[in-house]
Amino acid sequence: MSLLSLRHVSRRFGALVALNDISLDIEAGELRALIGPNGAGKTTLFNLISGFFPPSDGEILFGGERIAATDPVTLVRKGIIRTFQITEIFLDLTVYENLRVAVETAMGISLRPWVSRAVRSAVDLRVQELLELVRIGGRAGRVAGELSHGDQRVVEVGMALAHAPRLLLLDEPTAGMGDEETHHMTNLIRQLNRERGITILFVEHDMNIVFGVAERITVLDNGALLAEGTAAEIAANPRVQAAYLGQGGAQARVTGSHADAAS
Amino acid sequence: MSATLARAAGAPTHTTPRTWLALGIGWALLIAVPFWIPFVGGYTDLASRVLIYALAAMGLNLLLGFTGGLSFGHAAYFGLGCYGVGLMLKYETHSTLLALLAGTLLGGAAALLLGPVAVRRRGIYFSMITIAIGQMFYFIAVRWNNLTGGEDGLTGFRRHPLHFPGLTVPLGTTNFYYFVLVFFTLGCALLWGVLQSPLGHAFVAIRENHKRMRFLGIPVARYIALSFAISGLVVALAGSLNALLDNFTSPNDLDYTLSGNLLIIAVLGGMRSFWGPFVGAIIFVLVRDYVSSLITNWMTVIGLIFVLSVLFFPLGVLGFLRRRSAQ
Repeated sequence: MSLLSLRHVSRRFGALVALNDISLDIEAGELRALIGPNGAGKTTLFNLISGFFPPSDGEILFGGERIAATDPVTLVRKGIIRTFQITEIFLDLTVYENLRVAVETAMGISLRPWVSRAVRSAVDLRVQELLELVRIGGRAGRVAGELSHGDQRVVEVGMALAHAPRLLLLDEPTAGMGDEETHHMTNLIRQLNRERGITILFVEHDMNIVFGVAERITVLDNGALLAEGTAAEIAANPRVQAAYLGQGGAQARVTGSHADAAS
Repeated sequence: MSATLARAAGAPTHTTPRTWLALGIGWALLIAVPFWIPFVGGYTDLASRVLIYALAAMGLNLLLGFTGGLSFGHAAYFGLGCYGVGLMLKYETHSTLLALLAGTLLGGAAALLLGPVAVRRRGIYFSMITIAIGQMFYFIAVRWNNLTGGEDGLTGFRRHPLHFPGLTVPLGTTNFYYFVLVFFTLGCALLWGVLQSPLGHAFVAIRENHKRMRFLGIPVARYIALSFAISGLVVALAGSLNALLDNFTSPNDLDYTLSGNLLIIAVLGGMRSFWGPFVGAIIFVLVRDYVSSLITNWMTVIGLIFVLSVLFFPLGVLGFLRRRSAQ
């Protein structure tokens, strides 16, 4: 049984068909990229899976359970955690405080108006682990709003990891990052998948990252599923090249970067 | 190594020796009020009023400054505290403490029941609903003449001496000030404790980003309703004390003008800092007392101070002083 299955899922906004009859499966432990030109429906798909809004048609199964039209609060408890295209963190709080809130929500203690010293130090320990894991400990005391864009995205991933997700959805995790930050983020994504076995679905525009990191790739175009396969299959798929990557130069770039990633 | 560094840098420093010192000095000054206040031209009841308004504004500020909910209707909970105390003392009991408890629980229960109604909407609509709910109580108090005394207000009750086994404490002006100070301290301790807890962390995070909290699995509206209830409870405690101070209450204690004044106090002092509303209450009550003895339209002066402070100290007076001392 797949961890996540979409069965004939569609989403319409009035007359606009944002997603049309999408069926796809993601297995537990996969590291899957979701690509497609702007307006292909990638973020809409994320919004459906994470419960931001319900599908117009079709069924979504998570661990075999129907979750279409389930609210995000419930989905988080079931283990679906996401980040956003525009970073959503607590800008006026420090990095430490950002992670502390996330840890407290994950431990299910957010309603408590008081806690014992033992619980307090358990929270602190978990925050320290997360600071280490995403390597932002050096900035723990900084106010999140003063950090670079890249570091803010790292904080958001750290907050998602507080919940030990069964399915992690990353919406353009490296958008707007410099080379070093991008390198850091892609390493983190690989590490989370390989060492911690977290199933990850990510949207990405940078083809170097897509072909360098993802095991399998799903391609959306104009609200429809265009192709799905391994990195090599996608790179060689003439429909993908024609519809999404364009002709000539883009093809060379894709195959080139794929070769880089494979070497 | 890096973990210990992170701990040193990242973990929010809890109360430092300096803040303990400031708290100690502050409380010593408060305890000594009846001794020094005549020498600066004040009187003890004025200090009681400052504490009561400070407590109300700090209670409101849990919702306003720390949860991000702009309520224009908190006078309702203040006034319910007032009427709860007045009616209890007039018809039911001679125990001042029992009346205080009843007033506080009446206002707190109303906030607990009505918060969930207000949080069904966000932003300006939330604020509008809080006004509507607040004014509802105002009109009930005005219309229900034979119980509340209508527009003339509720009279015919007074605070009674406290009776303990083997001890009777009369509540004259000075003793009553200490009575207020005890409950002010309890209210502050409640608010401070909540803000240091996971619940308080969640409130602040909701103020910062609803969407992120929802996607961390937090049912945001329910949490805001809870903040609303705790906030209403503290404001009701302040209202109950206010009725005991005056031995009188009127629909003015339920009116949205009072809600507005509490907001002004919180913003004037600094709604992002815990003690900000306390500073705001000192300024508000003193200016009101002094200016209203010179001219009738004292609100103009308050309004002017408010406008100037928002222009020049957007973080409030306390926020401004903090920032300057940090530089």
